[in-house]
Amino acid sequence: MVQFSVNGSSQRLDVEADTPLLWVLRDMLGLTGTKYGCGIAQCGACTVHVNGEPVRSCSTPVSAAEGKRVTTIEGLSPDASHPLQKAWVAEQVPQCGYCQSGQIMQAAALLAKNSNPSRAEIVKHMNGNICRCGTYHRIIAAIQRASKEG
Amino acid sequence: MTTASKTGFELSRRRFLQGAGGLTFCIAIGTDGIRLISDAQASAARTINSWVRIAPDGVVTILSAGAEMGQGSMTSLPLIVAEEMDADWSKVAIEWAPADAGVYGYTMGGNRLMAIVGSRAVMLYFDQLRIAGAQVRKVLLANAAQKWGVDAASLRTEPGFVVDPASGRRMSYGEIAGFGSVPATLPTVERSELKEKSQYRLIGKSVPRRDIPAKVNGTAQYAMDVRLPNMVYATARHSPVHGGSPEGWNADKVNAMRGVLGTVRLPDGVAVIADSLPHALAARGALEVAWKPGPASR
Repeated sequence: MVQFSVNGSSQRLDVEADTPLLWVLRDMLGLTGTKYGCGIAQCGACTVHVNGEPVRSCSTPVSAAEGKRVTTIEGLSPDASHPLQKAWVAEQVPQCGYCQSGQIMQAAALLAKNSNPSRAEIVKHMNGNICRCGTYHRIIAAIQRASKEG
Repeated sequence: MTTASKTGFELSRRRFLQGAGGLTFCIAIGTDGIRLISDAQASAARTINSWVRIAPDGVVTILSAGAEMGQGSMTSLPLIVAEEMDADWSKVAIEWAPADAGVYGYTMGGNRLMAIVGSRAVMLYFDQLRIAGAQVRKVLLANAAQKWGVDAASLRTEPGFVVDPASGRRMSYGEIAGFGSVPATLPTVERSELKEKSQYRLIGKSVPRRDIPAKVNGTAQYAMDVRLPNMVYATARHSPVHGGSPEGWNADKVNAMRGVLGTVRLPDGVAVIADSLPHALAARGALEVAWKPGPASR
């Protein structure tokens, strides 16, 4: 039995402790906005927040979230109004979009700590999130926009 | 209007622009407005899926036949239709066309295809979608002309409206959809009647992609996000060498793992089926397969 909160709602789930958090979110809670990419914490598509810190949910056992606050893309804002979500639309960032939930969650963790990051700080922080479509330039532009307009 | 029965609604059709992509269209008026449907649909007794549907509230629904993979096809293809019919883009809703190449495909090498490859979606669909849009526009013009008792040739369109320059009267597409009827013979569209580039209101402009909002809030649905009742999950381990095939594997051990429903021999690998994806992935990780080399290994 694992207890934690997801996007503000308390969850108490009968699940094997070593189940990756990703599958608890996607398959048990139906939060499919978080994506399965590589499964070995090398691509960032599965990034969610645990107590505000970005983690790769594919490689985080659900037991590690015990008693903590988990936030997914669905819970970043109630109506896609987070400055990053608005900037992502304004800059037309996604192409296929598969990695973008993870990109946005990774970026949100940066802006929560550093509201005005330099380009170099953005690049360094986003370094582990891979986009096969190659939307990196727009991702950087959107983070800079959110930083200004947020 | 849910079936292609001719008794349910007025229907007429006519071949036009012979050889232009192989699609012909007809217009149908249903209880929910004007629909543009293909000739192939009309002749087949099945559920109608229209290319264009105009509702009395002015919402124009256009189907997109181009698979969206991030290249923008679901926006660009309906935009071509909207351009020629002079739809108000802010009132255009986009729906997916069903996977039915006979109706929604293009013709290439004698085959009907819906495959979208090589940056060709716009090129492949451009002419037939322009014609489809132009034909809807003509039907709208004819309806407004009849209502006003004027010559259709004297009327113009602006996005979402038929306009009578002589009197300044305007009639919205939604209003026309509320009372409109279909001529016994559909208007033809000559290439010379299509818009000149200089008349484009949408094509060539930077138009925000319609798929993006759903891709920033987690609601965009990918194949992996589909959930069906009682579905099970399968994943496969393939031969590490081209052409190789499985000789045997540790089925007893894998079958005993939690959630595993079974293993299946594939020509070039072994699949595991489980009650959840993490269980299937774990079982695949535990598979030990004895491989028989393929011809490429010799």
